Amino acid sequence: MKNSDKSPFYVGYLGLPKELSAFYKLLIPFILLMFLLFSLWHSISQKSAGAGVWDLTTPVTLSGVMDTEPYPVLRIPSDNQFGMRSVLLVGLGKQPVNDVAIKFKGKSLALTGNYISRGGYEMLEIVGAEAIELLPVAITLPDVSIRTIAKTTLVGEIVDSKCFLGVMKPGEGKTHKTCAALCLMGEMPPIFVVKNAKGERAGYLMANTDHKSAAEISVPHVAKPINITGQIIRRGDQLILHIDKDAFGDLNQAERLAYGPSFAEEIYTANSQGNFCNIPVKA
Amino acid sequence: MSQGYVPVQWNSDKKKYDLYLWLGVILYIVVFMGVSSAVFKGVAALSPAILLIRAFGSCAFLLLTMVLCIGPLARLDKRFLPILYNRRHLGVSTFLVTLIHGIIVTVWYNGFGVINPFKSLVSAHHDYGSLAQFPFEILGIAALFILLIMAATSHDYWNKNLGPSVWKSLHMFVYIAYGLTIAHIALGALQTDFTGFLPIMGFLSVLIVGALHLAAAFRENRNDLYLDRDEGVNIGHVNIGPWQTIENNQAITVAIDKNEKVAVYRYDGNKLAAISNVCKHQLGPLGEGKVIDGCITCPWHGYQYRPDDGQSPPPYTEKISTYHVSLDGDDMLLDPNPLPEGTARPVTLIPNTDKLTAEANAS
Repeated sequence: MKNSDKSPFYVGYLGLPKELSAFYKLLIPFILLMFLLFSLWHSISQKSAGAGVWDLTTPVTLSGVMDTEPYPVLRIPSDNQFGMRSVLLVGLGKQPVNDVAIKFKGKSLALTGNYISRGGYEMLEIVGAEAIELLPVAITLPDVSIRTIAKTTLVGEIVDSKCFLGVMKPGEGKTHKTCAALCLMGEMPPIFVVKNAKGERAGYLMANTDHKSAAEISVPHVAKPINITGQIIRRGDQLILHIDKDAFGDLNQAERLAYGPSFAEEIYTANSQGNFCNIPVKA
Repeated sequence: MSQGYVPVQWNSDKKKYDLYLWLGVILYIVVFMGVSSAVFKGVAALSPAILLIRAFGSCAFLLLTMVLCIGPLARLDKRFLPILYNRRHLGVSTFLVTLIHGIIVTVWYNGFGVINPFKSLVSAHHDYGSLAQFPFEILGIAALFILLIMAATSHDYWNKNLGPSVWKSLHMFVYIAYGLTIAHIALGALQTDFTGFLPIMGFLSVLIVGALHLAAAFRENRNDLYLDRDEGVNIGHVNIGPWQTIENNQAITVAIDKNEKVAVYRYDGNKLAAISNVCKHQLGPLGEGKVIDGCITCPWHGYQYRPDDGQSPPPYTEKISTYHVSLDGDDMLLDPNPLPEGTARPVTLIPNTDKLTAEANAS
């Protein structure tokens, strides 16, 4: 190679030649400016993860009746059309509260914890045994027997409810898959999120056909577009998809393309709470 | 050079290098966190831990891209040599930023659960037969492992003890780490969201890294003088052209076969010396160096060799092969057979060049 470069020759132990000072006075700010612009570009090009809330600032105390099926839930009297609202109960981190729920099943309690909510779903993160207080007067609730609505096949993605409803934003998609699987192993209730052509989304709480937890059988299918065939039922104010281990089906190529990106951006404005809700939409 | 080892041989340039490097990293992270928190606020706020994962992950990718650009940039334009000289600091910093990304991912996504975080990290995905569902985490872990090995051995102690060839081969794994990182992004984050910064940045990175390497290779191929070694062996020498093609205190590089290059230097105005083109330190291209203080000086890290015998000046002990070069009129004749490392041979003087010598002395 002909080496006729007239540039000043740099040797570390001799220091920077004076002739290169001007070059580096331009190059260093240029590189720093590139870092700044790339960071700016990356930050503003992110997608919204919806209007989920995980309030760690003010613990919330809720009073109701403990139920354990299909998941630990506090049923609270309400003046809505169902006469109650159901608040899912989870433990700290990715830990369940099943033992506590079984211990206090049917009891009227005041529970204190961190409030989590998104699109009509409510959840309480119980922070310890001292957060549970037995109420002296029993709370009465309307009938919560199961009402069958329809058998259906839906296309969507299984998420773990705790992350999706607000603890992790975003709490869905492939990058969140290991976390979602771990949450389901910890008995976090699975939710099947479906969407329609407009991008509006709804979530069905999932349970086994015996109305017990479907978390374990959902683990291999979490965080990817699939179809599920099951029975939609209503219990109190909760809409639940009853499934068995054969309910899951993979999408073919055409169905996969029709489903679109696995992460559907939550359309959030100052005047709305996002386009996710816990009522069904036309898939 | 080869005398003693300290963790870092600090000088003011290295301190400035690290200062600006980490200023860039901190600027990137702080701006990303600040702007993300300002754009997505209230109930639309994104998780701080996930923002940190994104910030450190994308910053590590930018740094890795820079690491790979420096080599060809410095060969295309010597003004970039100061960045190459301290490249190991950039490499170790890239590893540290990548490690922070990995730690936050492991703790946030895989901690606090009912199984070991590391088991969670590698066990949630099983579908190695599907690109869409491929366990991309394993690709990131493999890239991080390579960067760890490179950072841990990024010191002259390891270069000396492993030998420059093994050490260099080990550090060429950076290209595998880069490929794994591209795949990690493509089969991970881009499977969730194929819009915005990451796909464009990934494409630009591959384009720039590829183009710079091609440009550097093209320039090397264009400028190298290629010879048939067998021809030279048979007749004892090959004609490599007139000595006037070599600038004073610089060299031309002659490829005498696929894996062997010779740097032919002109120095002191009227002296010619041929040595191996490969520096003993990190196999740097000596033919792209210069003669400084009477010694051939490697452009990468300043290792020096005497032109007359290919030995580093005392107390240093490196030796490289030397070659015979002679003159036939203005044409240089190179014997392609290397002499043993550190072998002295008569200096070839260019006759009737008093004027050149005077110029050299004046410069």
